[in-house]
Amino acid sequence: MKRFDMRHLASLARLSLEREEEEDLARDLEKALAFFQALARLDTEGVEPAPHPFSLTSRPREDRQSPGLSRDQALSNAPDRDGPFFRLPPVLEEEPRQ
Amino acid sequence: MNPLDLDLFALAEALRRGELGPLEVTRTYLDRIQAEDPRLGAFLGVPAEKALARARDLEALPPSDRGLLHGVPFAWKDNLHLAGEPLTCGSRILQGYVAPYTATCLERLLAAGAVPLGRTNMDEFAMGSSTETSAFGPTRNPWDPARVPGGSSGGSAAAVAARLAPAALGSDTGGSIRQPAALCGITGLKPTYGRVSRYGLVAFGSSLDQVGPLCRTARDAGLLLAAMGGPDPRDPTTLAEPLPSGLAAISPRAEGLRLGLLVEHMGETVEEGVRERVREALAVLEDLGVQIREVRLPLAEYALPAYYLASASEASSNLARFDGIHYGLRVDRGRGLHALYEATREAGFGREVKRRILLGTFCLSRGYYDAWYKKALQARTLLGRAYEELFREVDVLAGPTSPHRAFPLGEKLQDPVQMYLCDSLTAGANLAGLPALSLPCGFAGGLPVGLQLTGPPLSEERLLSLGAAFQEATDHHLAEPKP
Repeated sequence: MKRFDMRHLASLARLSLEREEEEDLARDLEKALAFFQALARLDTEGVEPAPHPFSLTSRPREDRQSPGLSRDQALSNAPDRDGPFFRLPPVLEEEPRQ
Repeated sequence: MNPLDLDLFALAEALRRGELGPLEVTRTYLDRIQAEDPRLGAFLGVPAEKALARARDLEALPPSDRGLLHGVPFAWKDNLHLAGEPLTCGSRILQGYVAPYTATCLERLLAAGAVPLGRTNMDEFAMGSSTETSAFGPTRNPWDPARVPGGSSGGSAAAVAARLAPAALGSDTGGSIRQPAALCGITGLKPTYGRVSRYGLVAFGSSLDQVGPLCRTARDAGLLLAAMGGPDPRDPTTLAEPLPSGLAAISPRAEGLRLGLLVEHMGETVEEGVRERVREALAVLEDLGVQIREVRLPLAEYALPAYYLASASEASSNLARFDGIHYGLRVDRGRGLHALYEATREAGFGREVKRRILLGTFCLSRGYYDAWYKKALQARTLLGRAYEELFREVDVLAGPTSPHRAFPLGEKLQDPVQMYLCDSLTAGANLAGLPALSLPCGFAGGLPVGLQLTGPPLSEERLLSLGAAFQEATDHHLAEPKP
């Protein structure tokens, strides 16, 4: 039985995989899940999940103005830019995704 | 006085007193890197001119203005931002990226007078235990160049072991400081989660990541933590507790401590030579007045799966930012935005990073979330409670850092599950946020073995004092690989 749909997963993860790579990765993922499946033996009925190691209390910093990156610094690594903007390929003309 | 013979603590003292100058020390290390690194591949970039210029500036400082780390050179893992320097995370997807700002931990080392030597190699996005998943080629173990240095902070560990830097920073999500420290025969500390700011560290598993030092001695680690740790308004997960004042000058202390040997970490899956060295180390500690007993952590076997599922889930979300839009690689074949995302990520990420992203995406996807992601976090709750209970009975937990010594290059690369098992003894501390220290405790077949000490939250000073007592009584940390 297939535990997952590799095409769907790759699409959610925004990865376009070549056929061979897709097969390799599907096999690796299946092996890893079979190994991690050990966790199912652990009784966790009614146990609260811990997204963090400690119960964190959020400590907002003081609401004071401080310098951030300038626009030029923020754009300094842009693969493509147009003046003060990141330049992207057309977004709206795209074929609708399934 | 040859700077290479001094550990970081002694080097810092000599520099503060003016017995050595920043320029002389920086030059010595740069020369050493130039001569030795081509065969090891520990560094991804060495801005030598900048290091020399900074050392020259420091020469001009009057003694009263010298910081705690005046003129002390160091290396940093290539997932930490230093303004004006490239940053790659060992990945092609960050090709051409130059850090626009500086990580808090590096900013604090600079403020203390330290001199940045270079960026060290790592597994791509810190995902790996051998430094072989780096897009820029592997780093070799200074004790045997046919073997891996461990990972993911393998470049940092190899650099310190080969005396190419007195210390290096690393990051530890499931063992990435401690395991390479063990495999390279040096000291490595993963602080309590929240002790060191993560601002400027490229995120892998945000609830697990922690920056820490790789160095020669426990005293060195204390000094570095004192310089770079503590609360940071730019990272709201840093802990409010101030650093203990004793960290900067750790004094040895072992007498009367209660130590628990983790039975589950001494099983058949751990190499016999590793277990022997750990038992010998405990005998040394016992002679120093430590009370030793065996303790059980039946949940230990669940730490690894819980860790991988949680960290991959967090990674799949964190790495969504690498999309070819704001920085790094962009592959655009003119087929629109979604095709650009996919082509960029397909070309930019290596195999292991894709594995983790897909694993995490699976865990977080509809229909699987409860059975995998939530289950891992429930196991984390139980594991945290189990540690808490153990720390009512003992002050420190002990065992090996890694189930095995350094392995040959390529041995585990094709079998991800075998590679994942490298983290089986270290991942628990990350899930529970605990500080953990790896100390060199001897050799088996010519390869270093690491002893792991784990303590309750905020107990770094206790761990390092015990480490210092061990290093006062032994000379494993002084062993040097032959060039």
